Amino acid sequence: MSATLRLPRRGSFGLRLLFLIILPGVALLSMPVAFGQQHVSTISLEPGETLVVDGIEVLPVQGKIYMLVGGGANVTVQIGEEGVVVVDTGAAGQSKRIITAIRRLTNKPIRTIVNTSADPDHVAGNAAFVEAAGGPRGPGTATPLGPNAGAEMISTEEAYNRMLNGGPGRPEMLGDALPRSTFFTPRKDIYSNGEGIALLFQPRAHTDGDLLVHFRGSDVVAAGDVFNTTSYPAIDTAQRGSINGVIAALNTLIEVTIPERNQMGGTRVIPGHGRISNEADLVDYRDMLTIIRDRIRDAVGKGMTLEQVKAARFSLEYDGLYGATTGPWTTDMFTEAIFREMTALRPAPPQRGATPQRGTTPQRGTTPQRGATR
Amino acid sequence: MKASLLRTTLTAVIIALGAPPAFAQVDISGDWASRNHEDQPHRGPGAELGDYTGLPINEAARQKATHWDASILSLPERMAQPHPGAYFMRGPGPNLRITKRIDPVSQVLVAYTIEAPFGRADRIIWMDGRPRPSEHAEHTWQGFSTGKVDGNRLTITTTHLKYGVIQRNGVPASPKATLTEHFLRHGDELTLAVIVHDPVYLDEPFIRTSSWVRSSNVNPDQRWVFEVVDEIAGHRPGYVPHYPFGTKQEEFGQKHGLPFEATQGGKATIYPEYELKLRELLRQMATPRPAAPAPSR
Repeated sequence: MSATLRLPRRGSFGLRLLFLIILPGVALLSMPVAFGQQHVSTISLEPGETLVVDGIEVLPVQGKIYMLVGGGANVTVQIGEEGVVVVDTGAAGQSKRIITAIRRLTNKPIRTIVNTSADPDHVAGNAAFVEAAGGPRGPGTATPLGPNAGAEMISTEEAYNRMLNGGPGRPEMLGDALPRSTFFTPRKDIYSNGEGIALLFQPRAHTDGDLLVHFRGSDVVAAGDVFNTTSYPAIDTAQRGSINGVIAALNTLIEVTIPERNQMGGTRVIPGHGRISNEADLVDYRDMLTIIRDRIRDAVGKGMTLEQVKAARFSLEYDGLYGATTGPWTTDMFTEAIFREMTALRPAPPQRGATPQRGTTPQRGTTPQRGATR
Repeated sequence: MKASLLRTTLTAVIIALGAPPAFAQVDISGDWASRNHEDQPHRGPGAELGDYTGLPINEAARQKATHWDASILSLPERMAQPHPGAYFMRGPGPNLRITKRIDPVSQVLVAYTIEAPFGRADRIIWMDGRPRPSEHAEHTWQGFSTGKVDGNRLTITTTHLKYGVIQRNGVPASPKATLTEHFLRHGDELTLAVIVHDPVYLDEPFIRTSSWVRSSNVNPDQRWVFEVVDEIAGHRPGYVPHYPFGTKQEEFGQKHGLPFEATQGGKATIYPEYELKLRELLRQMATPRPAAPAPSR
């Protein structure tokens, strides 16, 4: 037997009005949560498909993860029943287009925002994303939408401080543009849309506040600017960036990734800039940086000057892929950053008259042994 | 009678216009056994260290190859990698199993698959005119290939390749490289001409051909998964073998009596005119240098 709502055939006009207008109104008002929201829908793209929305390219990666390109740094989006997790929010003036692209995929609420560093091309859209989410959530917030509404924003404490204080090329950020949840431990775990998400702190990589974001169920890592397929890593020494730290972070990333078989498929990596990758691409990038670092370290050990190091073109074979002669991060700047770090790490020569400790003073002109990567 | 003849002629013309092309189009499907000839040393053992003869490489490629150390393939994160796209049709072997993917309804050829290259980065050559993926899509060992038949020739264009080599002694091929390949079939013989265009490492396109014969007794490489093991114990994570900067790989030239310069490749070395230069270099090698005058006392 089915329960059917029937209009009264007889009776007063008022009674019919009650059925036609008031009861549906009451029913609508009594609907939880959904009232006031749009119809919730999610579309999915097949691997290899690309959707372009207002100039933002949307590429499905795998599992619940999408990569959005064209609004500054790559933006990683996880979409599921609970809502949307966003890793990085793009460059200044790009957030409207990025959010429109996400809304083409789903109109589920944005619930979590993660910043992989404090670089403006990664975080300038923070405030707009929080606004699109209905407000901030987390410590110190009292959103009128309730404790489970709005977006929680997470970064490392170092990245937060960089955003708060600003710096060269980085305007100070205020209010909702700042993460409410920060941490300084090696790792922070969150869970969303049926999968664990590990936030892996890389304390001295391209800056001192980098995060790798590993979506464990989808098996995708958002690597931020620790890994780029289009340029050498921007070692931001003003933010305590380090070539050794970048290499260490890449080695961590290689530990995290697992190819499906024979260095194909498996864990996918979304770089800060560039194309979708897997472990094989990471290994190429790590090898490249290790080789260039080793060459410059050896040159410093031999007493070569910065100008001599630049003239030697230690990175020649990689410049066609990652180098630049103009723009914000040139090959010369990359070389100089490594040179300065290797110079700072070079052991001081013994004081005159002091007895040198065995093995502490590099021999001038020594050639490293084959494969002498340390 | 005339009207009947006209009707018959018109009907024949209409049928002929509507019929599929009668001429044979190349079909590369089947099992193919590789034929190695003078190129066997390059394809079996692999080119010797420092042998870049006849390769139109630039200075960047030379620097990469010179410092490449084969020990890098002993790293766990590298030991299972397949032969990369710009090289894998070259060898060793490979014996090929080429199959058709046919749309079950329309019976139209959708793709060829080429199975059994080393490491089983099996290729798909899309024949259905699908667009190329975004430049931000993942690059793979086999890349993204589309094919087009032109009479007896199947022309393949491949992009989205991973970082690789064109020769197994470290001569690189970049992810920006593209391949243009022509399969030419003459009865039971199949020839593949591969043309590598690489703006990063080549001054001119690199061209080579390989051949196969049709065989019902072929043994394609069926290994699907390579096991990763610790081949060299004791290395720290992040160990990257490479020769120190400034290394010169001279052994190849010395062993074969070639001038070092001629072993280093470059676009000039791919043309017949280089023979004159080579003769001159060999003559200089053969001429003993005059002894240095003894220091005066």
